[in-house]
Amino acid sequence: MKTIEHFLHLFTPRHSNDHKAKIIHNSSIFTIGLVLIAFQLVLQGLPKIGIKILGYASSIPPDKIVTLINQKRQDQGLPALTSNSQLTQAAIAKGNHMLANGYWAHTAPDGTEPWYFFTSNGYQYKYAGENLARDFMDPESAVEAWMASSSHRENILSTRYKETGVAVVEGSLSGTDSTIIVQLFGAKLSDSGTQATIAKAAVEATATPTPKVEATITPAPTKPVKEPISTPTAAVIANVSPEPSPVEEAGASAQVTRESGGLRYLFSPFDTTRGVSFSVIVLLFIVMVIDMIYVNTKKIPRLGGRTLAHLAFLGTILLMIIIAKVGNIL
Amino acid sequence: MKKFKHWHHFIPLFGILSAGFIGFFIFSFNQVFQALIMIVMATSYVVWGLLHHYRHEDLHINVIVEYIAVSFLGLVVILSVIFRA
Repeated sequence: MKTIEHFLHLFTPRHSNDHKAKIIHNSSIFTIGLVLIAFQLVLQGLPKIGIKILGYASSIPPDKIVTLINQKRQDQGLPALTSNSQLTQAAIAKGNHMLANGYWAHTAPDGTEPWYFFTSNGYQYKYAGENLARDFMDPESAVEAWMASSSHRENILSTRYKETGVAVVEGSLSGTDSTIIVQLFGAKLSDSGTQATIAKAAVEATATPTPKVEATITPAPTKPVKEPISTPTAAVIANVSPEPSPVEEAGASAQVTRESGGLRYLFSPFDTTRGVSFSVIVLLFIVMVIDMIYVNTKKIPRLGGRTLAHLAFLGTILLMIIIAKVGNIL
Repeated sequence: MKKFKHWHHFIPLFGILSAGFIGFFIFSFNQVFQALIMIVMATSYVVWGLLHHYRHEDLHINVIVEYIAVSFLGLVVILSVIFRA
């Protein structure tokens, strides 16, 4: 009986709560907000105490990324990019470097630039670019997200690039399993016919729509410029795990996820957050609707905000939660 | 039947919320933009509430706190979802 009373006190307007459900009192709303913040801190802290969370172990075939990118180029009347094994190895190296050093950025915390992976894998570039994506559920979503960003789109549709290399790496990034897509674009120095003295590199950045960063380097004249070794029939796309020697090539497309020590929980932080958020907002929405009907029916005078306005605001929040997509590009 | 007064005040509110939602959708690839849009929308919502009640001559500290509470909750929810994506 006491439980029922408490329930009614929380969710329905009655004398005990001054004719306004306790859960939509100002103090309760603030408390709910603080509890949600605490929940996020707990989620954030789990990896730090050794509990691993399964984020996204989606199946992203790298060759599908190349196919989709080339479709986008062909739609614009541009020639398709060819897969290059050196770029693929560079993409693998970049992906593994991110997982090993726990960062999600074009430039590593130690200052390693994307161009390092090009040259260290023997790709002497005239032009170079990099697109990154993580935690997308399918390749189409990742490519569409890139195409929606003007700077990433510019890389995809650039006429400067002739070749590409894609790697999909899976591993723990800040304690959460992630699937990272690295796509490198390039044009070889030797393709220009003459030895250019300046190589240009373009990389996408994340925060602004026009974050193109131009880097200029002078290629070492003693380094031999290798010819492309890819052929149309030999897949040079790798799908790898972050093991120390993760080179998988020529159709080796098995995805391997590193198993590290500690407890491992199979849940998605994004889906969990979205589910909890959705439930909380729906609950408040329903209680507010009941409250609005009650107040209007009983003609209860009350000094407070407009419930209709709150419902409109919370309704918008609900729609935003529904359309929120998992996945991140850089 | 009770006449719904000040209905025209709700036009800018729905404009604010619609713009926020459309912006959130359009910039779905950019978390920082989405977060900024949400902050602007939540702030605009509070400002709308204050202006509405001021013109309605029933602006009170409880009313101000109520709008801040609701916008705070909305902000927490959306920022959590955005940065968990």
